[in-house]
Amino acid sequence: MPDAATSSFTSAELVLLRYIQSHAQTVPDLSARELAAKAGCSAATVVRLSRKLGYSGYTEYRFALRRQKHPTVSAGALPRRDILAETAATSHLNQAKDIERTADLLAERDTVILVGGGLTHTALEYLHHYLFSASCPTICMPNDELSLDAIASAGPDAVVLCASVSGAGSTLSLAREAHNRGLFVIGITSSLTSDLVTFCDICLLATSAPRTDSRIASRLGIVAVADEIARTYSHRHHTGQVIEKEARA
Amino acid sequence: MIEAFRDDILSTLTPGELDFLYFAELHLAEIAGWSLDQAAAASFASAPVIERACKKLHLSGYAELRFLIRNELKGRAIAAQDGISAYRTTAAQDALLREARLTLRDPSMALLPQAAAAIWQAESLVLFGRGLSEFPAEYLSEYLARIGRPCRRYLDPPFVYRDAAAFTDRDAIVIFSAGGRTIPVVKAAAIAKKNRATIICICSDRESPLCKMAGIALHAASDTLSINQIDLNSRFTQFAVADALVDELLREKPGQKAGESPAS
Repeated sequence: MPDAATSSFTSAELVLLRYIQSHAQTVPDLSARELAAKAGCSAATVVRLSRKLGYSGYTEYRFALRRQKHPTVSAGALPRRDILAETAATSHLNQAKDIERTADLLAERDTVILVGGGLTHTALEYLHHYLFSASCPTICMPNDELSLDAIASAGPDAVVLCASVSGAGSTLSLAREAHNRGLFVIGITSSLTSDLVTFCDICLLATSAPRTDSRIASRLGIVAVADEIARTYSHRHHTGQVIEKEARA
Repeated sequence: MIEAFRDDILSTLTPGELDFLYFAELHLAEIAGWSLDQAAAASFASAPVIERACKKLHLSGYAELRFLIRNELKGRAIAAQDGISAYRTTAAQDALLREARLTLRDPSMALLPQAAAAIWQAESLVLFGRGLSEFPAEYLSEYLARIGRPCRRYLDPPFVYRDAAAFTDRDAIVIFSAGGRTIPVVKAAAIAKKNRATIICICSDRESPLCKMAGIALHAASDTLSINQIDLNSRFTQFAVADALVDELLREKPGQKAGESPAS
């Protein structure tokens, strides 16, 4: 498991998180005590993890898990999301040094390939254009055969950044291919149990709020990580005149 | 590397010698480790052609060219390290959270249900965003297509002007813009306003002409960052507003009753 995954979580919380992700069907029916007993931790760990993930406590987290389990719940009945808490949770999930290392690699390496599909691809296109504006050219591709060709023909110095909420499907295959070719792989995912984390040299985590259908799950966590990389790059590697002004209420 | 040689010297090279030089420019890392014969085999140039090119460039031979290339690569690596400022990611995370807080706690967020209703009710719906604001617009349009409210999204001004010119009071336009002052953005809003269409804007400057023209102005707070006069303002909060709008659209979906699944 890469360092990033263990950044803000204790080992007990990490074990618990893995248990929750691999028993997604049964966990929403368990109380905090029952879950703690099954995962081999204390009830306090369950509550602490829920808070770290941006929920007020386990009750709210369990409700979110229930929404994932029963995606047919009506949209009208969905509680209001706390996007601010989700954004804060994404920031807490990753170690600053991993984002800095990612930004520095973008400056050091000649070839950087960004790969993601669907809505995640849109988040990466944002990163690609931001970096381009900051004088850091990258190659941004959807997770199709073209990406496979780009990875297959990339030099040994290339960096491949793969983003996927589920950490599965085509993006996972492309990360595996890049890893097998010995390329440096950076992953952004919302799933700790995905094989994607095993193929990554740096693994960055992003929250993903479920909606009524997994196709429309929020990708804001991925955008937040991409934005942190972009900001870090532009501030650490800029040359020339800088004009900054802080936003006010 | 090629830029280090004067034009009048480069112009004395034959096409074959220039081809090798272009090849070398594209394979600096490899050339740095190749012998003359390896470079000749890889570039499909003969060893004498390479040696002749080096002489014309006022070098003693291929060995000196390789020495120059190694120095150039070493210089690049040092420059990459030297250019790093002391900026830490924690500052980026703090800025992102501060902007998100200012945006999501802004009173304009109370207009989200109104914006969602306007989007559902519009006969014709257009999304417009330019530059980096193109991507939050794309993000929203992808969700709209998936939840059964397709729209037209434009990047180029002439097309959005054309659609706005045909608007009526039953149509709506959603415009993403950081400054709200660039001419295409303001002009598109002005045409839409003249035709009494609903204008929804997601913008960082409340005092901008775009915000003043919009019927529904959603504030997306963002620090200003310009490097060498290039706009590098983060668009994260524009994405966040788009994401909150998707939630609201799901709630406000026409015919959506408690217990029903949205047809997406």
